Amino acid sequence: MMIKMRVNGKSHELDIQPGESLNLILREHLGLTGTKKGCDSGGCGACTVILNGRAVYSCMTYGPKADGGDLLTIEGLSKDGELDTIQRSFAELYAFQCGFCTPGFIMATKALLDSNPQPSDAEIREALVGNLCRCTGYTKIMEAVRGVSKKGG
Amino acid sequence: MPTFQPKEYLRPSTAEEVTMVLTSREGAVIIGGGTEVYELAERGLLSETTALVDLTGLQLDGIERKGPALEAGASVRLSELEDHDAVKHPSMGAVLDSLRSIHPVQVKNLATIGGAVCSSISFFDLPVGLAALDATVQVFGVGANQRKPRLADFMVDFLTPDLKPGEFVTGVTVEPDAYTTSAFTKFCLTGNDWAMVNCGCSLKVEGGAIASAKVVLGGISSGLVTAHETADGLRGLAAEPGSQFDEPAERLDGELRDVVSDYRASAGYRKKLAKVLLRQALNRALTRERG
Ligand SMILES: Cc1cc2nc3c(=O)[nH]c(=O)nc-3n(C[C@H](O)[C@H](O)[C@H](O)COP(=O)(O)OP(=O)(O)OC[C@H]3O[C@@H](n4cnc5c(N)ncnc54)[C@H](O)[C@@H]3O)c2cc1C
Repeated sequence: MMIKMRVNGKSHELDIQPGESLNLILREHLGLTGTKKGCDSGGCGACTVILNGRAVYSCMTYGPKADGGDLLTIEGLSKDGELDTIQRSFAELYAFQCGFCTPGFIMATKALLDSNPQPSDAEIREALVGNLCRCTGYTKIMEAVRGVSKKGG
Repeated sequence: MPTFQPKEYLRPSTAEEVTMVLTSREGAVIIGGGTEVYELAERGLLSETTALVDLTGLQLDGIERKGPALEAGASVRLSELEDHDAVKHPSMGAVLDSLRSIHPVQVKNLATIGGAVCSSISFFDLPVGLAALDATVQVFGVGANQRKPRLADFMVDFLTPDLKPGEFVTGVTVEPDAYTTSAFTKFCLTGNDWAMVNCGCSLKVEGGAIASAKVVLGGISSGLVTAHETADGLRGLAAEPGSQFDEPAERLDGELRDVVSDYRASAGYRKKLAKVLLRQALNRALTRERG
């Protein structure tokens, strides 16, 4: 079946199978491998993208659900080779080690800060509870998110 | 090799068309947000699925006050309901608490009301919050036949909603005016976990005392448990947070039958949890009422 979607500002028309996930479409059809395939069962958050302004797990979003949608992935954040403020904060504050979970954390953070630029710690935890990190731990990630929101990023 | 390979994705635009598709195509499965469909498919339980039927074209996405009733369409997403003013009144507290206790946000941004109730899983949070407010389910079926079973009856068994061939859910109705306050509580092991047991209660407070109450529990057995006798026992008690609920909560035992024992918790532990959660829910509802 054919679906249309905008990904990082660019329109695409794609021929997909109805049961294909958005994760597979991004990674295999569009070559956008920044969005990770982690647990592939809605448990780790590494596949988080922003669909129509809201964070979703791309692993459990069926492709047709994104038909006509506006999608933002980690590749859509930097502009002219410059990191986005959230990416910079994660890098400057050492909020990652292996980096596998980082795109998911950054996209979940982006969705949070777009709707709530000055979140409390409880609100940050609430927004990131669906994202797991297995090497850095969460202290640095919390610092990175607080770092962006303080700067008004 | 994936076993879930639906060949078609259908987007009917009327309720009659949905019914027709469901009755005429073997293996047609409705998709709301698809989060539970995904879970079932991953476990190999949807290998017979030939077509996914998306209800978006029916525009079942409204949240509307109709006299004393509040109606929400089957396609309303859980995060949309949570953000809506309609759930901010104290009487809707059980629904709001249940939505707030669902994690992660990535799931709430996809999942729909229709999917939450039609999954028919008693430890899901929203059904318990809704049932505490006497929710009924709007069911549309063959011959444009419509019926409105109580949600607590609709969730017949694990993964078994009361849907006959061709039937589907168009929305859910609650009766917030029957109560002045309500609340929901849940016990789980991590911030991102399913409920081991959850509890919703709604109260009508008059002249400083509880005039009527409703108590619903999930995670206890394969369907929702409505604790009628316990709710009756709350009548006349002082409508303020306190220890007056200890004794009625102890009496819950008699109403908890066929309690599940599994790898997560024994039946005995679940029964104990139910009492604690009921007391917490009552105190939360009454604290909420005081503003
Ligand atoms: C990672 C994760 C975490 C979760 N955490 C929680 C939690 O903390 N608390 C909680 O309560 N729940 C939790 N859930 C469960 C979640 O609430 C359900 O998956 C969700 O509500 C299902 O809604 P959906 O729209 O995605 O349903 P779908 O997957 O689209 O559908 C579910 C079932 O209902 C049927 N169906 C859907 N709509 C209709 C309709 N209108 N008429 C007839 N049949 C229909 C489908 O055919 C399917 O059988 C979690 C799920 C995941 C994946």
